[in-house]
Amino acid sequence: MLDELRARFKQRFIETARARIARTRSVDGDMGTAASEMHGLAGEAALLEYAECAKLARAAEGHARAGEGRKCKEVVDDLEAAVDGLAESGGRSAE
Amino acid sequence: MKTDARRVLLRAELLDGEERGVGHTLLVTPTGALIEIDRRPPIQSEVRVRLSFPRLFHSVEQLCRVVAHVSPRGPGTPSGIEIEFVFTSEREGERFGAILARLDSDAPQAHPDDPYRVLLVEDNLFIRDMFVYGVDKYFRAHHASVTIETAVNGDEAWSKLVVSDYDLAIVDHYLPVLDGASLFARVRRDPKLAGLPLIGVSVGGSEVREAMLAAGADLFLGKPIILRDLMRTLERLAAAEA
Repeated sequence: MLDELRARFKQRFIETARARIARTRSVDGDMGTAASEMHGLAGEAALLEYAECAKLARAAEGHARAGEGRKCKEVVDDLEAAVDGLAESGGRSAE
Repeated sequence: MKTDARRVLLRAELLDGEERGVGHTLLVTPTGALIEIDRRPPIQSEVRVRLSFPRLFHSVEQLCRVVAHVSPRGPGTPSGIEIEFVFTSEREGERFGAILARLDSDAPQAHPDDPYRVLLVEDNLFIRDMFVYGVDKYFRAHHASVTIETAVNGDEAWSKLVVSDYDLAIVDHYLPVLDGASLFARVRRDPKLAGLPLIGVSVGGSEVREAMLAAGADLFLGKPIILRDLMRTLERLAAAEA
């Protein structure tokens, strides 16, 4: 089941994650939007069991909700690296 | 713990004196269970556990001993407690084993003309698509009849629930209009809908879990949901309806 889900949705996950990361970076202090984007990404990553992405997205959401913009940005940088790693893993799972 | 046992999600209530906790089983055998739950009673302590799920498994209460605390070892791995059932007589053990036996057997097929109807309430289109795909794939492979409809918020879900006849609702907590817990509370207050089985899902952690269970959820599943387990549970629910 998980393999089939990943095979079908991995590429869409990567594209969606990158778009959410870009929106989170562009919010300019709107922490509510940042939290919402990271919350969405955490759920998507969790359903596909991409644990590292889910964990980082959840952490970024927490920082955004706490109004911690700088910490949120740092975690989003790590999240982007995790998503890139997933993309580079091709058909295999990076997690 | 037998790891090849059928995995079915059941509501698991820990009845430990004044303190209570609600989680769900990941595995149930005639001798014990693995329960995903926040509470961690001491190892070797005895607690009462009530297992249930509406229309699938009538409430059964059993004395248990906590044999291990289970920590997550990665995505989708359990976090909770492992228990073994404590029977006061052989007869009690046999009776309990007979009740559980049907969880350990293949579910009968639901009637194809009378599909089991699930309402999924989720505002995230991507998650909806993954879920619908997973349900369709699983039940095609198992020749069972389950249909899934969707709503994007609590208000839309309510509108659908009052005019349609669903067998189960799976509801995310964070929704743009009327959150999951509020929807559950409304369902439980309605005489015609009060008995509907409700599963709450969220990445929101223990605060959301408490809110959804308090509002009337039969089960709360933190994400990641192990889709396979949920599908098997749906399969049995569908068969129980047929």
